[in-house]
Amino acid sequence: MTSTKLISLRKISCWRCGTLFLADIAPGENIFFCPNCKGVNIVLVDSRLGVRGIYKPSESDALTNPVIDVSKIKLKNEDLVPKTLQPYLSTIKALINGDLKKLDKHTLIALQALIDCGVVVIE
Amino acid sequence: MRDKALSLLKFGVEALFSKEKREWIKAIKEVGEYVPWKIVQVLYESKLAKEMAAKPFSEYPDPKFAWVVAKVLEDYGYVKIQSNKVEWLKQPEKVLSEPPAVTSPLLLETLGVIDRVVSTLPEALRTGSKPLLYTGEAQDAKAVFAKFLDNTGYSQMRMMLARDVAHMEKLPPSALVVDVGSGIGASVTTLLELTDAKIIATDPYPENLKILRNLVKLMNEEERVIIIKTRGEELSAALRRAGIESVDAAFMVNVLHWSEYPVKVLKEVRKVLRDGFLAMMQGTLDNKRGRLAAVITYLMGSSIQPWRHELLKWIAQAKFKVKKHETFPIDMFLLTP
Repeated sequence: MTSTKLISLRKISCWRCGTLFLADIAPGENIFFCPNCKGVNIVLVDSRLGVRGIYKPSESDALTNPVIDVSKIKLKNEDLVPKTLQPYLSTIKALINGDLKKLDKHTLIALQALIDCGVVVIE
Repeated sequence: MRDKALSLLKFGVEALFSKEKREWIKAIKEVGEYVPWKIVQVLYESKLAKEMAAKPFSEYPDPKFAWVVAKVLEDYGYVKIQSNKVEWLKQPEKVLSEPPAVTSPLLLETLGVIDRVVSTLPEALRTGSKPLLYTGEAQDAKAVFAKFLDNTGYSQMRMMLARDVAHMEKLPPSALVVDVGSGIGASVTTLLELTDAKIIATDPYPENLKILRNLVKLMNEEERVIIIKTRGEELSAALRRAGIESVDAAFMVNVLHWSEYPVKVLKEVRKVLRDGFLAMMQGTLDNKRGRLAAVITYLMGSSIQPWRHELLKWIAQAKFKVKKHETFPIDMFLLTP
């Protein structure tokens, strides 16, 4: 019996601008930022790594927050990050610096909270 | 007086065994050195130090606030209040040449808040306006307010209230707890950590509730939290609209000086509590720490905190009984109907 290794790299077409980009998917809900328009793509993947759908945030239960254009966000008040959101700060800084292309669901929620707190600003 | 001494003694004994409480004592000492020093600095730089020695408090737009600022300076030995004015006991120039050391992690964490807020003091004294007034919209005011509410020291105080004063960890999973004036959700996260109960979070600002909703999502506790937009003064009607007639407990942290009608808020909490209790933390003007906090929160938009005798009167007017009352590091109450 031979085991088949499932390939997790898929071409995803951004719902917003249509650009095809390569994404490393995992079963469940995946969140990707389009490298072209920076739009948030929520990709639903089954246990066999089949892509079941690509959604914009407003169509997904996972998120009720608006799309964040990563190229326009800036950490304005680092010393004012609330304690509860502190654990997400290093990942968010990596995203802002362009060192990270993919965010997990929780970090995206934390990013939205930091924007709502006025700690991260959209320029 | 006896209550105050007992509270302080109890905290001191606990500090012998608790690193957290030792950190607290260090932070209280350093806050008491740093914040008044910072106030002297902004008063000196804005030329208000001289003005306050010549102009009576009654001539400021808010005389009571001018008095509280002066009282803080008197508490920490910088001035003497005489004839409704201040007399400097130490020359401000000399004071500024000796900045206090800041080593407490709890103070360091909130230094950004203190510095930004205190820098608005001259404008508030002179014109009565508050540049960092919290409205839920201005970005900088929101950031300062969020950090003011959600930092290690304040979280530990909330935990002291919930665990040490009210023993809320004993609430069963079926219990319903209303958090009055949730802000961005710092009390809700405390209650979610400590208890298995269901929490009703309430606040009048939708901007706060949006942040709160996301903090709850981060804890994966969405099923345990009901979010209701309401002022404390309209609590019972808001709960009724959500199909909730009564709750088993209520939690309220420094809400009354942010409320237009504090007695009404207490009465509304009393109305939704059939049995159970209200765990309440409320700063007062009766001690140095309370007066210091009053300056900070006033500059962010609150009214001035009540005196303890006023607070006890409000509690009685709302027909609550005081089951427990701690006064150190801040007034904390366990109240029952």
